[in-house]
Amino acid sequence: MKINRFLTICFVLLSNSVLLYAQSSDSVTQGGIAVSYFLYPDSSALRLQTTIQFKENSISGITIAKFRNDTIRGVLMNEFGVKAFQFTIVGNDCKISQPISQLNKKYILRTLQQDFAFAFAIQKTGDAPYSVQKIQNSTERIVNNKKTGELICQSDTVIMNNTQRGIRYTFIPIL
Amino acid sequence: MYKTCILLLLSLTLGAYTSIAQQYKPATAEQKKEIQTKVAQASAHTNTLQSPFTQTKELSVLSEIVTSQGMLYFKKQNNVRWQYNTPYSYVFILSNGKVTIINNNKSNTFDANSNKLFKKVSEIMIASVNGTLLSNETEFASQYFVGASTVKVTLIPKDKELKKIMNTITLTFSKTSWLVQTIQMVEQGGDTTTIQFTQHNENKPISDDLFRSTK
Repeated sequence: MKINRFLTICFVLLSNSVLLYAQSSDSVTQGGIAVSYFLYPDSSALRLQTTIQFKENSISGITIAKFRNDTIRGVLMNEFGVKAFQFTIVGNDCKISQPISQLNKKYILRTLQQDFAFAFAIQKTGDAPYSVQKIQNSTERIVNNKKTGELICQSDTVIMNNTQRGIRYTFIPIL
Repeated sequence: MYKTCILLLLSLTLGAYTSIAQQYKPATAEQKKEIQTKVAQASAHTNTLQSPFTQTKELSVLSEIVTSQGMLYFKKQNNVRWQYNTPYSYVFILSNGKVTIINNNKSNTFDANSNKLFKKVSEIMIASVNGTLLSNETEFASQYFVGASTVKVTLIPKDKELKKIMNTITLTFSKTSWLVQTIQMVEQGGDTTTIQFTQHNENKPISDDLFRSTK
């Protein structure tokens, strides 16, 4: 009887330790910081296939971003490494720098800054300036209070529509 | 102690070798003409090219160097498949005026003309790979340098728009195959992209399927 009890205790302890180990392993493999709808890896940069479409023009490339010390720093470049612009987001403020000549106009930069801040800086809690709607199990729609932009967040894609200016941004994580 | 000495000796030897290997002298007018001819001949004889590449990108905004590796497939005239394998899987195809991106097993195709400046960068990449960029004297001013086993050509854009994003493009060619070994692009902001082709496989059959969106 005593042996049985001993074995049972051993089994329970072993099961718990295996479970704890599995949980800790899981948290390591899925390590990263979630800001907005993007998960920033701890040891490397977030990479997103990115398309910005405006009427018949589009820019496609790869966004590489890092979240450190409450600041998101990133760059959009084409597949061969040539940069379209770089950005820095602190809180809800986004600053675009070193844009290519096509984008280097005040109103374009202002729009890009607002849109990138909306796409990258919004908190999942859906604080004051935004309303969050659950469309399906894996899809959320976030609308800003001015109703000039919406963010459609699916499991593998984040789409930001600037409804006022007709610009569509698509971000797909590169794994 | 013994191991440290060997390591020190090895690193000194390697450093000396590297500095010798990187010594370039400006090419004479004759050498320049010879380089242009050899590269043009190699280009004319290369119908397909496959090469592994290592891409290094210095990103000042992130204070880091991003390194990616992959495979280049080129088929005349203008079919390019730029395939990243590590640290992530991502494919860029430029063929028949269309750009196709394959990511997460999903493909997305759009008109290459939708962004003229990025289209231009893609054209420069193709022209760098097949060597035809050297003959483009209307769009680039060039400086030629001769080393022991390689030659280096620095191209400076003349085009106003291109000039705004690109400071210089430096191509290094092997003196045996006359195919491009490295492409280095220095942007106006100072960020640099270096692409190194590690092994050239020329004129081996490449299926057209590789330039379609479904593969």
